[in-house]
Amino acid sequence: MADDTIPIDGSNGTRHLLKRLAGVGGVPVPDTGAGLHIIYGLSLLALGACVPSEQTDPDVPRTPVALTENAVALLADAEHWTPERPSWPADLAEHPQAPLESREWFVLLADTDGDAVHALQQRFTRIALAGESSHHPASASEPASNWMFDSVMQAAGRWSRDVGRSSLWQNTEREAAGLARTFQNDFTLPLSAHVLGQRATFSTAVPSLREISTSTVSVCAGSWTLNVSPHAHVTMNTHACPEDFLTETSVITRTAPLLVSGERYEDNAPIPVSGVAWMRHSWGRIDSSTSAVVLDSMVLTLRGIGTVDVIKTRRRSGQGAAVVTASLEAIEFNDVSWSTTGSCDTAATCTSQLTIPDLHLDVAVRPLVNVDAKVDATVSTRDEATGDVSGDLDGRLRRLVLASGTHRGGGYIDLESNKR
Amino acid sequence: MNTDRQSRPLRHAGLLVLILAVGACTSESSDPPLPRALTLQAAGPIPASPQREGDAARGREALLTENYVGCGLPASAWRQLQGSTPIATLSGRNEASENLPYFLNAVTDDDGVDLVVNNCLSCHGATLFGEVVIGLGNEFADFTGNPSTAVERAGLAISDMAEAAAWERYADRIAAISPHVQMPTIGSNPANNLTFALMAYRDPDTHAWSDTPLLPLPTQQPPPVSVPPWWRMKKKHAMFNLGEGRGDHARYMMAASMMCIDELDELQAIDEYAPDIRAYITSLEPPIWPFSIDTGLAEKGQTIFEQTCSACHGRYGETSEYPNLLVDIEVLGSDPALMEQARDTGGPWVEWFRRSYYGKNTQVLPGSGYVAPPLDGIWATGPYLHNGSVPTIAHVLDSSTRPEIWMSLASDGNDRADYDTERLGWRYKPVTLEQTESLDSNELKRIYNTNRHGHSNSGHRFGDALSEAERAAVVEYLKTL
Repeated sequence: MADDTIPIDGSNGTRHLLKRLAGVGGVPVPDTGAGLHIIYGLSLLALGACVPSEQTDPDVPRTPVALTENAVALLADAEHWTPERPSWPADLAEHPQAPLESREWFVLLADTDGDAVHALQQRFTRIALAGESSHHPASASEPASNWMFDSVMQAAGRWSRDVGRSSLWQNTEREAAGLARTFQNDFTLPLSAHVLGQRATFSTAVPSLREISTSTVSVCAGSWTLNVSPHAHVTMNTHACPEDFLTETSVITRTAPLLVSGERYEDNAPIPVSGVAWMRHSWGRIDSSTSAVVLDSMVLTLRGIGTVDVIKTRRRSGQGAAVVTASLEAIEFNDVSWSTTGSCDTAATCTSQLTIPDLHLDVAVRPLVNVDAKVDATVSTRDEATGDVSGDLDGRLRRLVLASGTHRGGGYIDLESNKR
Repeated sequence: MNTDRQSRPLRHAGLLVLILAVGACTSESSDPPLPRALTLQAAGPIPASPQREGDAARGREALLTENYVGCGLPASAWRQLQGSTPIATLSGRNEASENLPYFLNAVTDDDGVDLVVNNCLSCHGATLFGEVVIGLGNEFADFTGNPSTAVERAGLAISDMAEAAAWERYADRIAAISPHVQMPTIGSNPANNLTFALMAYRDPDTHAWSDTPLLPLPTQQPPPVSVPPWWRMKKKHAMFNLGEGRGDHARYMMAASMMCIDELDELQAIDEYAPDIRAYITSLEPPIWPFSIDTGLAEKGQTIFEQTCSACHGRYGETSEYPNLLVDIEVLGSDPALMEQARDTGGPWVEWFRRSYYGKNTQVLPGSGYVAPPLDGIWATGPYLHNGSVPTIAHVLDSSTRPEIWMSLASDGNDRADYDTERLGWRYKPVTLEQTESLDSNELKRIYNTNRHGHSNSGHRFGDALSEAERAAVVEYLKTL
């Protein structure tokens, strides 16, 4: 099924979209109600467009350049977006007492003229100083990330690039997802440039999440500028309102697809680039991977459908059945099946099958990473004395995926480790 | 971030714990396989049964503080999820519960875990024009979703091992009953189905919970129930729509413990104060009509009412009387799904009840129709008929005007502007099937479609014979009850 006439930016409206789906129009869509809605929301990286039903499909983008171009094409309808520019990191003032806050950007870029593809991963982590909650507004003189807090203690970034039609093109995506460092010519961004404050000790007087703040951050439409000096300066636009996930210790916000444009610099010469990205923003306490339930999510942008958000909860004990729900704009679906094959805790080989009968949707979801690659989704550790954080902060396995079957598209999967 | 979205589903998952409703009737046979069909009680007056005495003041305290449900969310998780969402509280509660919503009790389990557990007011209490009314059926409770979804996600907010164990026990019970308690419309209550599902997972003799059902499970399309107000209990000889709850009402009221009370000695402990709770319930009075009344018209209406309605619904005022009449379904003509469920499949459940702790001093005798209820405070209890299929009293009295598909325009009972003082009920708008196609999920949940199984607005056409003026007079009179 491929209906290219329906825009993917949500402007078509689900109610109209549903009317166009055979067997759905005219029938009240079952509620999943309950919803659950313990606050959730997602973001996604929309890859996809013209994605094959099998990985051997001739439509499969064979190069990272093609992959990126297709992703950009998929989002092309969104060019009319006129996002309000949020003041970032001013929004962090909404929860200044959160002892931990991090933003992660995953960006896939391609040279507008040329065949080079770049994967950029950038993470900023702030940990509050004990007993202190003040912060400063960003100043014009602040370097690189524009992140300005007196308590910022970590920043990390990685830039990878691949030139030409390498058989290893998938690794570019893998780089972008932060899953590996495989390129010979990649380099790590200079962290020192981003460390703005002293290393902090962790406050033991942790307020509850709701005491921190429940204010809404108004970024339903907006843009972020990521200045990775001296390598690139890109702007990422979003069109949809991000929603939040509440976990035991943190709130996680993920954006809708980000359309990226900007410049990278080579020998101080600007080179136009474009691509796609997603952003993950979390704040709260640090040890966010010990809750009784683990959370998996999948966001797929599908031709002819729009963006489908899927949530799966699993008990860490292994007891009980997983609960899966999906939403398409304002419509929620209870009757959803998301099965996986392969080990999703430690290997990148697991694949998914997603079925939503009410949407007549049945797609196989395959990772873009090398199927033999191993990834570590272990949880983070924190030194109580120093507040140092090491490992993956969220014990998650992230991957970019392609979907094929009744619908085609691409997106992003976020799987949480079962490990405590 | 919208914190409202957290609390509502959690509350309504919890509502399931509290629904008291036992359908079906008795069967002495215990030879396997149990017969599923039952012979229903014939229509007619229902005799009174002796009731245990209790202390109403102690009953209120027990109702609003005790752990008669046995499981719930760890308090720390609840506080985190609830956040600063506004809550309606009740005065006169203990310190642990006074800052909780009126439908939750603060308790500590045997492992020392602080829990918030639902109390009976989850279904039998509601806010009316900004005030909590104990005993008013909650006609805005949302059972449209999968309660397991909310409860499972609450586990994201729990990491302590003891709390996780308490939560998982609660989550297990919710997961077991979830398929049987989901309704298409906000306000529709799955009470009977919930009770049957809980029975299916329990050994009737030991009360032990089984991870697999021991009885046939009820339908996954529950017949809807409109929750009757508690203040009628003082007049009623039998509980529930089919008049099935005969005998010791206090013992019936303990059925909320079916959720997570697994030991007989725990049931005995609850039984100690159950008569007090019943005493409190029978002390309740209905809310008084808060708008103006045309007393002259109401007096005319009383005359008409007593000539045409009192035979079934009784008389009010100084010469109050109530006949406790079970009306045959053939006479009443209302949707038969609730009755048919008991008749066609109730055998095993009735037998379970008879063998259980709840069955001592009680009889389960569902009738071949529905009990004509007392009408005290009727103005506050819409929508009407046993399944909540008719939005206002005026529509009850003139069946030709009843909407086939309608959407409630009230999201709760707090706004006086949402109340229709002419027709007596919450405002609504009729919609067509075509119009429903363009509604989103939240709007669809407010649609009551009388074409669905168990949702018919048929029957009780007795008011059709009245003139429009006579119906208006009766409506005015009903405001005074």
